[in-house]
Amino acid sequence: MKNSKIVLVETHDDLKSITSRKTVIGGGQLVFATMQARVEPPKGFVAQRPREAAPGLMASFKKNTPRVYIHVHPALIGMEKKARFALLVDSYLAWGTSWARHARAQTKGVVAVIGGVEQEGRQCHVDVLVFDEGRLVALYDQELPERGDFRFQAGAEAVVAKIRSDYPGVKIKQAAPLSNWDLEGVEYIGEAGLAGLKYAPITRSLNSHMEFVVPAVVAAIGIVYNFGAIGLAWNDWGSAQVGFSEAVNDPALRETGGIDSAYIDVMNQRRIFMETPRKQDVLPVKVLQIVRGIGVLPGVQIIELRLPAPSVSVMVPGQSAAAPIINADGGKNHDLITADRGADAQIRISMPKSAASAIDQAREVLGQLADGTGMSLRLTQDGVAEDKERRVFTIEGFIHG
Amino acid sequence: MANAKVNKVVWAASVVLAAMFIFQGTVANKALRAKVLEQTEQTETVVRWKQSFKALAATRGKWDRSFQRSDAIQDLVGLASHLGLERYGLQTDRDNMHLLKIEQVQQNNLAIGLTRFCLATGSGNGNNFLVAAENYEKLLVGVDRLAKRSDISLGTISLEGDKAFPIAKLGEFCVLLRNG
Repeated sequence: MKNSKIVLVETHDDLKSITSRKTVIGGGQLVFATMQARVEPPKGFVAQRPREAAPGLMASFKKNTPRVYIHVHPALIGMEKKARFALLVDSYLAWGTSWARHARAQTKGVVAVIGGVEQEGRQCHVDVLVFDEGRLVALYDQELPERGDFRFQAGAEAVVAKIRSDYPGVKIKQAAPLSNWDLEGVEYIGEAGLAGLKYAPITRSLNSHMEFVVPAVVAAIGIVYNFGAIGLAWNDWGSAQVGFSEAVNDPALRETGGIDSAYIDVMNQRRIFMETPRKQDVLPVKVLQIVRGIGVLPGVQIIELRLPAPSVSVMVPGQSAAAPIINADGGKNHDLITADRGADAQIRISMPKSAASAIDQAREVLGQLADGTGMSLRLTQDGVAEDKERRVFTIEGFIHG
Repeated sequence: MANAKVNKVVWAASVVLAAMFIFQGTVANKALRAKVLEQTEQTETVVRWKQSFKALAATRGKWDRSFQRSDAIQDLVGLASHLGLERYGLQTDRDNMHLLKIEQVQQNNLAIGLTRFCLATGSGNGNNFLVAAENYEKLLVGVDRLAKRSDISLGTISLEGDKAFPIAKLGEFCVLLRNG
């Protein structure tokens, strides 16, 4: 309270003296505080946010929590720019309901605080707050004669006596900004009672629109979220539908009468069918090559030529010696002719009988034929037949590549 | 002085309202997202199908060019002229031409809309289609050109030399016609 920037005000006139920005502690006639919700305040006084008068964070949510209803002099309204207000009653409440350990020691049991404002040449304004285990049980104010008046002492003692009779066993404290009155059985706690002093914004009206702005914003956030969540998804759905109808609106789809996966399958198989190489593409060419190859042999006659060979002549193991294989390219592809490989061509030709043996003539003929056709050749089992003039060779051919 | 109460009611109402809107919005959003996903999947199916369809356009054209429609050919005479052996310098015994069998072409166990009309010539139980020409060279060049046609299939070729003129016996000789 030594700070010159802090001013104590208790009357309307005091307010007029505030010219520069100052911290103002309001009390006295400027503040009307009561525990009764329905008490009519002095005319023109403005209701402030009610204070919870019990310890604990959850006090404001409990139904039976005592409350202090505060009204301030209308002159305080509009002073916000000049002054920051703190109310004396707030600091006494803070002291009485404090949960801090050092404070609890003081406020244990039933405790009364006598606070207020006393100034030179003025009536003394006294606020009395009674706490029971930190809960406010009584709150009232009283005017005493000015300090210098001879009736003051009796008035002050009457205040203490009233508290004692109302609450037997009560501990009574006296707090700043009152000076120490040295009353019997009363402990002066001085500025400790102001420790909880804090600025209290003065509201013009509890019904001001500002009170509902935050809940309205909360609700609005919900609504905006709702609209946003639905709106965005709705847009996405719309564009998904547009995308679908664009995709569907296609001549190809109309032609086939819709998405027909069987159609694609059939088309794919048709493609594979047409792309698969056919044996018949090379068969006549091979036949022609063989015919041309045979044609160079002197006196030869084709009896039969079959492509592919009838698949009866599978080589039996152990017969390879009897049916030698003649390769066109010096045996390079010999190993391709496995025991289980069927011949590609069957050739039966008739030749004039030579002086050599049947096998030797066959070997010679097969050699010439292999060079002429590019095939590997072998004589079939019992592949030689002969009469007096001609020999008939039955030959199997293997086409490479 | 019921202001504090009013204030709390307003607070509670606004919180409940906001919670309701947020919950409803989330639920609706989820439902719509599911719909969007479903729709997108359908669109993708259509797009994929269209891509496949377009990719197969060449196949469609080739298919139509390669094979004659079966209902365009009435009888064996029509089939013979469709063959047009004369164009390849080949002769056959038209009068004794007959159908060996008719079957649907399967590719990977799937009927692909193609019918195989297999032909043979000669009386009796001959399974071969015989074609003849002046000499082996002409015969085989003709058979080669015939075999290159995609609507002709043949399995075997045999030559028999002990005849008055060269004859090629074509085994499993069939004409392929598309069904539609």
